[in-house]
Amino acid sequence: MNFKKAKIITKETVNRLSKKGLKNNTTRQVDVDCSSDCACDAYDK
Amino acid sequence: MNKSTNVPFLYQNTYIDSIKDFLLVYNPISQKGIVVLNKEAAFIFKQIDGKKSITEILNIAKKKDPKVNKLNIEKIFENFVSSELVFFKNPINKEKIFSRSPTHLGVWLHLTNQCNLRCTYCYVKKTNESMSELTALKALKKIILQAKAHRYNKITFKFSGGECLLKLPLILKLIHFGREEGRKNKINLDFVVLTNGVLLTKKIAKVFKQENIRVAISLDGLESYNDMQRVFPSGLGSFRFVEKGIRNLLREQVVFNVSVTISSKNVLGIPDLTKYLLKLNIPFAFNFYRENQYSKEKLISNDLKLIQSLTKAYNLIYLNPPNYPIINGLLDRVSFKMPHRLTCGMGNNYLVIRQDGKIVACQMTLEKTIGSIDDYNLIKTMKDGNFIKPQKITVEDKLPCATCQWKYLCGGGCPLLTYQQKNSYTVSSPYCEVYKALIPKILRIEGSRLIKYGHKVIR
Repeated sequence: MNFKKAKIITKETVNRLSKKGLKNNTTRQVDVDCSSDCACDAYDK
Repeated sequence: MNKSTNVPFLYQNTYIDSIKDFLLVYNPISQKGIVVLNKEAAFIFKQIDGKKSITEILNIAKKKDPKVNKLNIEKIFENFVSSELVFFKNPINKEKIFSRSPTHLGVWLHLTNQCNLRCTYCYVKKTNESMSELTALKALKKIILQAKAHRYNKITFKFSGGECLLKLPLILKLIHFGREEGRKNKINLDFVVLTNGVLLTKKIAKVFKQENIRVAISLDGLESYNDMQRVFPSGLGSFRFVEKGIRNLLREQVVFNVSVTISSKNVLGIPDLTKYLLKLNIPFAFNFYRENQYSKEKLISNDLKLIQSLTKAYNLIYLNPPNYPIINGLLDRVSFKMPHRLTCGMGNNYLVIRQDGKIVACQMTLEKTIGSIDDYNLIKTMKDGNFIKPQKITVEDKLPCATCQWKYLCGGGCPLLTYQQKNSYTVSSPYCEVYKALIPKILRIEGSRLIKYGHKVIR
């Protein structure tokens, strides 16, 4: 094992990567936070 | 920097699972969400037992990697702490998370009772009544002013009905007016149109794109699965019309999601619908049907069928997760966004304005008014209108929720549904067993997404 290779992956790291990818990407934006749109869900609870 | 003599601790109810060589870890009171560790990080994480110090863990690690040093291990622990998986002396203050006042207000504007469809489960009594422009503008202005006065910094207006696209000119007028008022009052506003999609022409999709309006469109399955419950007054199914609407939204690159209502009629069609939505890269949310006085039949799906069908759908997502977070819509009223003690915003940061200007606590209780837009203080009306009894109870007060590791994800489920079926607000959701069976599978979906899109990142 090489503990210098230890990786911890969170949603923040993936978000950062996705945003980087979007800069050179002309595809449709997919809203990351629209799951609360369709019903009674509050946005911060 | 952690002192290497310190002993690291895990949080209570931490959930751990494996995905291939990775370890999935979920701390229910963390705002960081699900975390994935590769095998090196996982090895260190597994040594944490509330007894061993970092120095002792370093010595164990040296047997696997003689070159590892104190700094390497401390760096890994720093990442564990910043990812809210581990604490030393100061754990996350749970009360601090839950005692924060909400800053985002959700407002459901029920613009009309009219609809071009007659869905079998709809809770709206169809009449010709619609909200007048005067009432709508008055409501919007008053809500913006009062939200500001009560320190909300964002409002999301959801236009609904009936079919709110029958009132498109009113919607556009309200959005223009609202944006102006929002600017004046320095409060962020956004707008969502909740529609059945039948009237979504290319022209309307273009307008939504130009006006930066989000859309939530209802679709309950492919072809006959949708057409068994989402029908025109003639009985004709709506699928092919809705599909056209979806294509128009895709073509114009409108931000939208699909809202799926699951009943016993369409439950078996959910995996195929999931495949279709994933292929088109459309976010979606699964909602369970709620019995109501206007629905024509009992449609509640039995637990086992529901679990089996959703499991099939989840497997499809797990094998090919999209790069955006998908898990918040995958199970009715279960949200992974942040730990929460209440399921919805009813009575706290959510209110519904009816077509006649009366206020109700939830769109499912349209006939139980709690006030009107003429009230002096709408936020007070909203808070006083909380129908849960006793009003202050949270999931921590419910039985058997108090000891459940998933309580801060489901918040105990929809209180209205629980009361309807169990005649009490202080017990668990009728869907409790469904939640318990499916939440671990949803965590795996997020784990799979993190591995697919984040494995190249070294923190």
